[in-house]
Amino acid sequence: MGTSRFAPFQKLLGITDEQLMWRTARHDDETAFTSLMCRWQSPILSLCFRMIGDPHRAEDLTQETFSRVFSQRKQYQPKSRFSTWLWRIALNLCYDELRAPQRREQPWSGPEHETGEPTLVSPEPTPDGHAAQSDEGHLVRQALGTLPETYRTVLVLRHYEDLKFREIAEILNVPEGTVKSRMAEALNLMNRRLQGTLESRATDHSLPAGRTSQKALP
Amino acid sequence: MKHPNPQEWVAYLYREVDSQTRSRLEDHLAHCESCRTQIEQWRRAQQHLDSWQLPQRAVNPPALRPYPVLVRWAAAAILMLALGFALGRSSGATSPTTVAALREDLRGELAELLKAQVAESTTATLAAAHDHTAAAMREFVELYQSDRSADHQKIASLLTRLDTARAADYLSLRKDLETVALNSDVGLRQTRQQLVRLADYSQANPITPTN
Repeated sequence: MGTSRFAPFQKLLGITDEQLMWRTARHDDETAFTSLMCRWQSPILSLCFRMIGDPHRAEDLTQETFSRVFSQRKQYQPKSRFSTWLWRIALNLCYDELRAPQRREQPWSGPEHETGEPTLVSPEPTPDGHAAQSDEGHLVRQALGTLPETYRTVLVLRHYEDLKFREIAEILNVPEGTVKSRMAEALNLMNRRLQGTLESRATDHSLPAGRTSQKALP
Repeated sequence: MKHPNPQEWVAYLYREVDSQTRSRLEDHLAHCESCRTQIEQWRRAQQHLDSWQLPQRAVNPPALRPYPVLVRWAAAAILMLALGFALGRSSGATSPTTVAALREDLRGELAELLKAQVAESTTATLAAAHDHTAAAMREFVELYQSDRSADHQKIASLLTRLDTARAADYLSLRKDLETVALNSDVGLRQTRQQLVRLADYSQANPITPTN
């Protein structure tokens, strides 16, 4: 299945996702399906990565999402939005992945947790600003991984995927007010967790070097 | 004081409120210390979240770039341009006298080249025109001849038709003449018979003059 060269033109001509999906479902149109994949691969990959925290598994899950879309194409209801359906499929796969038994053995946070260089996060940009930012990003990734799924989902969809609260409510099939409440709670939880981690890191950093290296030993 | 609920605040933080609600919330923020603190905390959480950027590789797989061929060609074109420019720059470092001499040389060569090319192209054009004319003439002659033969055939067929018509006319005339001749023959015979009968009749009953 090659990448359609007409995909950009189709976008220009305003062919909607729903029309493309209808063609995929009705005529098994591979070109239409490829266009859909071109449009949605990047957001779905990013969703899976944010939800799972593992780039390789995220790529697998993205592939799995699209193969599921294709295999379930006859079940697609043209009345509903394609994106809602797609987000749902991807999210369900992420939940399955998170609940898989082999996942419970290895915690969400990667092995880099203990080996990462402790860096103080200061509000002013420092010469070491980039490293500090990437380290903070790592902490955020870990903190997000410890959030309950309901909060993590809302946070990822609203903050990273930039979906409206109304759309998220539709995807999760809950009232919009619930989504907003969960978002507020998710932000509170993130703050609490990050404050704890950042503070402990800051104190670790201020400790003498001897004690830090001792701590790293098994 | 009645504080707006967290639902309103997150909608405000993610710019999902209309302008009226926004100004109402901002008015409240200006006067309410506790809500300001809460909003600041949420904003800090948002900033923390922003610090986790995905690597570009994971978001944009290279296999899905829409114009690989175009980009490759554009890159090649840019490379060629850059190479030409660099060559031009590097060769531009010669002394002015050599440049002048080179220019003179080049001018002469170019003039000769141009002359030769013009002559060549003129000959070629003339030859082509001649060929074209000859071909056109041939075509015309062929057409004319074919037209003429068609005319001939038409005239011949017309003549034949005329001949046939004349023969038919001649035949009918002959028939008519024969009929006329026959008729006149029969008429003569009858007249002669009548005359004979009349003669017989007058001999048998001689006409006596009556007084």
